[in-house]
This record gives sequence, C-alpha cells and structure tokens, in this order.
Amino acid sequence: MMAPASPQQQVTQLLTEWRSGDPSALEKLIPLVQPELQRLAHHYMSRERPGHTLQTTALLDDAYLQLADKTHPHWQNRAHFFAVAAQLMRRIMVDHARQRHALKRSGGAIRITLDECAAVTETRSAELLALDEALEKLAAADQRKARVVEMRYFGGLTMEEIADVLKIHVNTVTRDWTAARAWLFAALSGENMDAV
Amino acid sequence: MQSERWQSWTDVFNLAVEQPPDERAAFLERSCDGDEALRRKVELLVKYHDTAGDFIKSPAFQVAPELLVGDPEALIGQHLGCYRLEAVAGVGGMGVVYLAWDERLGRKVALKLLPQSMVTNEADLQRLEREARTASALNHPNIVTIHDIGEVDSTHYVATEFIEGTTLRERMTKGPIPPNEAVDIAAQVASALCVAHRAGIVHRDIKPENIMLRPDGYVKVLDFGIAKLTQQETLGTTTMLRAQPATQQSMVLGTTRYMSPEQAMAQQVDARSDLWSLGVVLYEMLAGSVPFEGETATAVIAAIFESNPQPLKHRTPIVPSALQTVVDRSLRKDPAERYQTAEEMLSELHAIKEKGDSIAGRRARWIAVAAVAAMLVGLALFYASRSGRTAPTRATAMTEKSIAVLPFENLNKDEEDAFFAGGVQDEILTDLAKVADLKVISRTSVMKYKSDLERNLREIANTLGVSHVVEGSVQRAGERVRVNVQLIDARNDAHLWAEHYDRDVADVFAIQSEIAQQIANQLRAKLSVAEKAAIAERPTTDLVAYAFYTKAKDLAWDLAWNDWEGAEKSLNRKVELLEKATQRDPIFALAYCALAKTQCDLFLATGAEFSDVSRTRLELAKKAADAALQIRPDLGEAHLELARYYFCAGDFDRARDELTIVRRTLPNNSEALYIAARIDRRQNRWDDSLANYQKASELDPRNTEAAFWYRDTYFEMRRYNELEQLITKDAARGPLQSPWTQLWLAMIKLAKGDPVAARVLLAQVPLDFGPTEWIWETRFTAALYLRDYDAASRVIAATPVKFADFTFLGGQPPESWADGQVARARGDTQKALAAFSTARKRLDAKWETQVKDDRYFAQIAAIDAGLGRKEEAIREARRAVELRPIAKDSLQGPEIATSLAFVYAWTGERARALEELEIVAKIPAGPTYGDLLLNPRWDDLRGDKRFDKIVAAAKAASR
Repeated sequence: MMAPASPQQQVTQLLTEWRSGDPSALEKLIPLVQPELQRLAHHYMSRERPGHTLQTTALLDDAYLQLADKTHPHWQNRAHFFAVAAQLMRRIMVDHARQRHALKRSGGAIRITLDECAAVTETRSAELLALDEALEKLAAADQRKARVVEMRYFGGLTMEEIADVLKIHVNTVTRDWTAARAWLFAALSGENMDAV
Repeated sequence: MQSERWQSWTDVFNLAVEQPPDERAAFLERSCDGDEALRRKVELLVKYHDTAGDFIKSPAFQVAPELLVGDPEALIGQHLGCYRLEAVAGVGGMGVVYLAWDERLGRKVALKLLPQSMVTNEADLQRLEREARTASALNHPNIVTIHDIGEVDSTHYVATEFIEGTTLRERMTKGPIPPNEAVDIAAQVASALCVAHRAGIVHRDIKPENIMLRPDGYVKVLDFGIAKLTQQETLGTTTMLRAQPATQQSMVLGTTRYMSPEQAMAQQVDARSDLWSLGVVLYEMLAGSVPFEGETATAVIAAIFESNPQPLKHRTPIVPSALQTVVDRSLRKDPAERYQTAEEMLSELHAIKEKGDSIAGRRARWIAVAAVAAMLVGLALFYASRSGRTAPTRATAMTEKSIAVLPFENLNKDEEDAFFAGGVQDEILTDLAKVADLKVISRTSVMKYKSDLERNLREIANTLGVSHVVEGSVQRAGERVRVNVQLIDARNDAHLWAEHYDRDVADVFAIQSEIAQQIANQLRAKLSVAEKAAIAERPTTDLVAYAFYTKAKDLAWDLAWNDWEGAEKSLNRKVELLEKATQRDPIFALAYCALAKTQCDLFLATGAEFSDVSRTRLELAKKAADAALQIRPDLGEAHLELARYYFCAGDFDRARDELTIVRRTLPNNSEALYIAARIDRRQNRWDDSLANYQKASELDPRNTEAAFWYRDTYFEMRRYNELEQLITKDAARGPLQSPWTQLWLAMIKLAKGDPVAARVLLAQVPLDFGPTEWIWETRFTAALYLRDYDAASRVIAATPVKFADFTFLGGQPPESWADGQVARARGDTQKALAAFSTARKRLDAKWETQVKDDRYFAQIAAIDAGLGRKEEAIREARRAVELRPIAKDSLQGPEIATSLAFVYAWTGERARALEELEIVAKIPAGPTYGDLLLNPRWDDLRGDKRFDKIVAAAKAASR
C-alpha cells in the first residue's frame, strides 16, 4: 500500500488540480481546509480585544501558510486558495445559521435571557440565510457576479485579488460588485427578482 | 440571450449611478432607447443602490464571527423538534453533543447534532440510517441505547441515552488503570460487542473517547451504528472529521491509533477488527500509552503494520501474564490469528477477572452507588429549577416518612425456631403499615433482602424508595427472647434509634408493639387514636397458635412462574398449619384471614378452572373470611380477604366495595391496590388500573409478578412508548431484568409491526429462559409475522412439552393448532386439516370433565373454522362472545371478539369479520397493529379497503 500523502501535499495537489479546471478538486479541498480555519477562527476570537476588528485576510493568510506545502509556494495557488476559503466560509456560516434557525423555529421557545448578543445573532442568522438564498438565485442568472460577491463578502478578498482569480480586469470586478450588491439588496427587501 | 441583456443592464446601471442624481432620469431616457422594461428595472436597482447603506460592505466574518466559529453554547435553551437543549455535554470531532430534555417522553437524552455539510451523500445517509436503526434494537446494559434519529430543517440529529460519568479517555489522563479495573472495563466492552456482533453490527470506532464509565461501575459503549455516520473512512480518502477546536491533525491521529491493519488499508472490516481496537484500549489502560505511536498519522500506520508493541511488563510491573496473552492475541496482524468472536475474548477476560477480583474493587462500587443517589437528587433539583418540572427519579419520590422493615437476623442455631425471627419482623411491619402517615414497603419486596446476605442499606433504600430502614435480630432461648432492633436513616447511615429487649416469650407482642410505636415516633408520624390502638393490639393470646400462624406465614409462597405443583404442596401445608392455629385459638381472626388467602391462592394456583374441586376451595375461602369478620367486623385484613374472594368469584362490584373499606384501614396495603387494578382492567377503567398499579409498585417495588401485570396493562392499552420507557428505565435496577427486558421490547416491536427488530431482541433471550409460555408464543408470533414458516415450525418443535399444551392448544407437533395455522398459511390444506382434527380431539378430551366456558368455545370455534365447518364454527364463536362480551369483561372480552372476527374471516364472512374488527382494533386488549398488519390469519381480508382502514386505526391507537 502506498503511504498516503500528507495533508499539506494533498492541499497543494488539489489546488493545482482545481486551477487546472477540475471542479471536483474543490469538493475534496474543502474538508481538508475546514478544520484549520475553524481552529484559527477560535484562536482569533479569543485574542480579540473590544473594538478591534478581525481581519479576515490575516486569518486566511495564516490558514494558507499552515496548510499549503511549504516546499512549493505559489502565488497563483494562494489566490485560489482564498477563493476556496471564501466558499468554505460561506458554507460553514450558512450551516451554523441554518442550525440556529432550525432550533429557534421548531421549538418556539421564549428566550428568557435578555442577551443582546444572542438576539443579534438570531437576526444575523436569518439574514444570512436569506442572503445565501438570494445569492443562489443570482448565480443562476449570472455566475460571475455571484462569485464576486462570495469572494468579497465571505472571503474578504480585495478587488485586485478577485480580479486575479477570475482573470478579469479589476474595473469589471468593481462594476460587477456594485450591480450585484444592488440586486441583492433589492431581493432582500422583498422585490421579486425573477422578473429582472 | 438573457446574459446579453444582463450585460447591457449592468453597464447601463453602472453608468447611471455615476451620474449626478438629478440627471439620472434623463440619462436613462437616452440609454434605454425606448426599452421600457429595461428602464424600469435599472431605475429600481438604482433606487436600491442609493438606499443600500452599508449592506454587505464588511465581510461576513467580521459582522457575525460567531457564525463562523459556531458557538455551541448559544443554542442552549432552544428546541430541536421535541428536544430542549439544556447544556453542552461535549464537543468532539463529530459535532457537538448536548444534554437535552425529551419533552415527549419526559427524559434526558444525549443529543448529537450533525452539521449538514457532514452528511453529503443521500444513499450513504440512508444506508447508515438503516444501520443505526438496527443498532437501536440492541438492548444491552453496556450499549448506549439509541432513542431516535431524525432531521429538522436539514439539521440531522441522533438522540441517545444520556450517560453520567466520564469517558475512559478522561479517566486515563489520571494515569494507568489498575489491572483489575482494566479487565472489568474491557470485559464489559467485550460483552457489548458480543451482542452487537451477533446482530451483525461492527462498531468500527472502539476507542477510549467512545467508552463511558458510569460512577456505579457500568461501562457504556457509545456510537454503535452511527460510528460510520461521521467516521472518517480511512486516511486515503479525504472525508474528514470537523475539528473543533483540536486540529485536524490530532483528530486524525486520535482515530488512527486504534485502527486495525485491515481498517487502515480501507479493506473490509469485521468483528475481529473491533477486537483489535479493544486490544489497543486494553493495552493503553494498563501501560498508560498506546502500543503503536508516531508523529504523524502515516507513522502510526506504519507502526501498526510493522512493529510489535513493547511487552506490558516493561511499562508496568503488575500485569498478570494471562493479560499479556489476551493483549497479544488481540493485536495479531492477521485477523485469522486473533480471537474470532467477542465471546472468546470475553470468557478469557472473565477467567482473569475471577482470579483477581479484589474486595477493593467492590467497595469502590458501593461507595460510588451512593454518589449516584446523591447525583440523582442533584439532577432532580437541576430540572426543577430549570423548567419547573420535577424529573421522574426515585430520589424525589422519597419522603422523610418512608421505611422498610428488613428481614431480621435469626440468631438461633435451631432451624425449628427460625420462623420466629420472621414473625417478629412481620408483626412490626404490619403494625407500621397501619399508619397512614407513613409509607411502608410491602413484605413481598423486603423479603428479597434476606439477612444472611451482605446488605448495602443505601442501595436497598434507594431501590425501594425509602429514607429509613429497620434492621434487627432475634434470639429465642427457652422461655426467654432477646430482640435487638435499630432504626437507620439510609441516606447518611445515621442510627436514629436502637433498643435491646430481653424478656419472656409471652411478652413478644408487647415488644413488637413498642418497637412499632417507637419507630413511628422517631419518624414523627402522626398517629390517630385508632392507629395507636391497632398497633397495641395483639393478634392472639395463645403462643402455640401464634407459632403455627407464624410458621405458616414464613413458608415460601412466592409462586414461582408455572411451578404449579410446588406451589400447591406448599399451600396445602400452610392450610394445615393455619387450621391448627384456629383450633388452638378460635378467635384468632388473623389466622382465619391468612387461611382465606391461602384458599384463594390454591384456587388460582390450580388454574382457576371452575371444576368442583376449585369451587370448593372458593367456598372455604369465603367461610374463613366470614369467620374473621364475625370475630372482628372492622378488621381491615378480613375485608381484604372478602374482597379477594369476591374477585376470584367474579363478583367485582362487591369486591370493590370491600376494597374501599380496606384502603381506609390498611393504607400501606399493596395487595388491595393490585386487586383493584385487576378489577379495573376488566371493567374498562384502564387509567384507574394503571394508577393503582403505579401506587402499588411504589409500595412493593420488588414484586416481580405485580411488575409484570403493570407492564401488561400498558401493553394492552397500546401505550408502547411509555412501556418502553418503563422497561428501559428499570432494565438495570428494576424487579424484572434481562432477559425480561428483551422479551418485553420484542413484544412491543411485534405490536408495532417490526418483527425484524423483535427477532434481534429475541435472539438475546437464552433458549433455556422459561418461566412462562409467553416467550415461546412470542417467538412463534415473530416467525409467523415474518412468514418464515420453517422457523415457526422449529419454534413449535422446540417448545417444552409443559407449555405446548397451553400455548399451542394441545397435540404434539406436527399436529397441534399452531401447526395447523402454519400449514394453512403455507397453503398446505391437507396438513392443516390433519393438524386441526387432532387439535379438536385433544381439546374435547381436555374439557370433558369441565363445564365448557367461553375459552372452550372460542378455541373450538377457531379449530372448526380451520376445518371448514362453517356453521358450527360461527355458532360456537358467537356463544363465546355471549358468555363474555366486551361490556362484561374489557380485558378478555376483546380477545374473544377477535376470535369471532377471525372465525368469520376464515369462513368467508368478510363483511362480518370487518364489522367485528372495526370495534376491537382501537380498544385496549384488542388485536395489535402488528397483528393486523402481518399475521397470516387475516390474509383473507387483505386487499379490502375497509381492512386497510382498520389497520390504520390500530396504528393510530398505538402510542
């Protein structure tokens, strides 16, 4: 039996495959990367001081360094890694939001605590789920815009980084972002976007 | 086409927002060039662009970081379906485990939430759910019971039994485990594996994180059947566990260390793989570290393949060589060289355990039991404060004024005088039982704790549900008697009161009364004048008569199941002694009462058939009861015997009248409650029946027979879920233990229409377990439902002769009624007719000397239906119903009516059959859902929509 590749080697390999156009590589990548991200997120959360915002890209940078094979650093791989991470973050957060939402709805339990944070989270969960759904609809009509939103909102990538991943001009990214944002806001405000 | 429009739309939009606001309208006019739809849409989106504010300006992670991290604490207090999340019990690789409260069944569970992204493949999920369902049929004290598997809004969950205790992993962080304990733990795990493997389930993830140690010494193995739901398959694939907060690396390593070589190679694993893993666990317990170690997962796997673990004696000095052998054998690389079954390994472990069983280990367990009791109280408070609801534990039911008078020690070497000690205890118990302000445990239950055995008072008190116990000793020397007695608060071992009496034998009654009085005072029980007088009363003044009486009471009368002969002999001897007692003292009312009871017992023991012999018995019982009443018209015991007589005679209303009086004068009498419960069942007061059984079981917790009928009542009422809860709750400590547990659960499964699960459970009941014919009947029924006729025939052949008659209506195989049923279901008409003919002859022969009652008519009708004798069959079945209609007997009436239904079915009278079934399918004691759904006897009705409705009604009536 051949000894299995180390996780780092696998990540690098899969990133390369994904970059070459193999979509299934992404599926395999996500579970590999997931735990690291969560660990780091925990780590960041505990270090956070009040008022100090969390830097998403710093988080992802760390994650990338952890996971990618140190013997083959690739600029291109880094950007793609970030794109993967964005998808990942989206999935994780939507999962959690869904769980909270399911629990809240199915019990009808009255919250006894006046925990503002908790109440806020509940709202955020519901909003996140709505956004996720709207984003799916957007992707059906214009995939590129959806990806831009995903990378920007969930991954925190800069316009330049997104442009690099998608191989388009940075101005196109900006225009996509502006349009998509308005579209999503309209959708979340109750407009029927199917007609648009 | 659409994307082109989109592009132009995007461009127009972007240009529009760049215009100053007041020029936008004009710009849009120009650029849309008459395309109204386009203009309107861009206008709309521009509006939203303007009002968007900081909508999604910041990345999600900054806005709601808790959603990325997933704070398990945040879900506390929420509901998932019927489960209320109470606390985080643990965070592991496979999601979070919560302590939750099942609001439907009122019990705590461990609820494991599986994140959606973990459960990806639909086919896999179904297969695994099926496996988990099979696992949930496993019932074994060392396997964590799976209660429920489900999904709410894409959140999958598994609800299991909640275990108090620590994981083996936590225990091991404190250092290596002493060999005795390690062997015990391994043996319990092996025991669990025996059962699971027999049912075809391989655990695949045996490791210390999955082994829980309860404070009372029980070991529980977690994650049977769901190990694969969240398991990583092997290192080769990339489906991995979520790590939170441990890194992915350490999670991988964690599981890898316990993998067998074949598992690491992603090959097929079987039972022997589990035994390897258990070997690793055993090694680790003894040595303090695992046998195969490495820096990375790869290194560990290499070690598993290639290296041999260090001998245990290098790691720890005190390991018996037999243990090393066990470890060695389980860690053979080639599965063919390991233990082939869990049973093999278990018996080796048992052998080692027996040699080394130390007292130290046992003591630890006793102490731990007390800790559990304390914890139960704590938990009850926890629930009370959380939700205003008291948890159904024994701890909360214990009042201050509760007591059990345990059998006294007999210090006489002379066997002749052995009964005397019993008499003293009995009198004290009886006296105290008259005090309404006290809860006094019935004699039947306390007699289980004989004085010669080692007694742990705290455990006994906990089982019986009392706060105090009375212990004592009696020694008789000629005309003197010495009595020592002490009252103990079992909760903290405090001796509240003790006394020593050294007096003439003639004073024994005074001693007993005094003791009872003192105890009542110590417990601060309120005593009415009547009660005081009752305590002070003497049963008789004649010591010789009293001796006969006490001897009679002391005779073991616990009717063993179906041991008719032994019971009859014992009861006849009792009659002898009691008659002698009443001869000596003609106004010894209690002796007459005991005599009346004995006559009734004889009546019941001889099958309660209405032969001349048995009728005479009943009359004798009435005579004795009347005699007692004449002497003492207000004596509670006398009214009880009268009630019992009326019950046996079938005069239920009179019986109930008597019982009302009994309840006033004998507040702690569980027998009165039993009789009431049994009457209630027959008079359609099912809820009252349950309530009476419930109360009786509090007073008489160790009465196996009563416990059985209590459960039977739930069953008849079709309240299977509550019954299941009762069964599993008592599985470890109740009066009816395994294999009763499996038997009951199997019957429930059959009633619910799941014969596959029933079979799995029945396989766990040993073939030589035979206190009752029910087990054989159940096995037969399971085979019948599965249409496994070969198995059914095998069951008939294997049934012991003494039951064959009872269960299968006479005839030796292959010519009994049961054989006829099987043959008919198979379509073998010839064989069926032959069997039914023989059965008929036997039945007639059996009833020749007896007055034919409804049972006879129901049975003969069924046989005649099988023989095709339509007119006779219907006539006989109708007669049976006439004799015992449902209105007259709500317990057996429905069964008789069901026979009528199936006689109709077998004789082609479809409409009539359906008519009857419509009535009985929903009421208690009618045919179960499983019966209607699966029993071949209803095949003639299948396909009819009306029948389908009836089946559905039965299902709806079950809960």
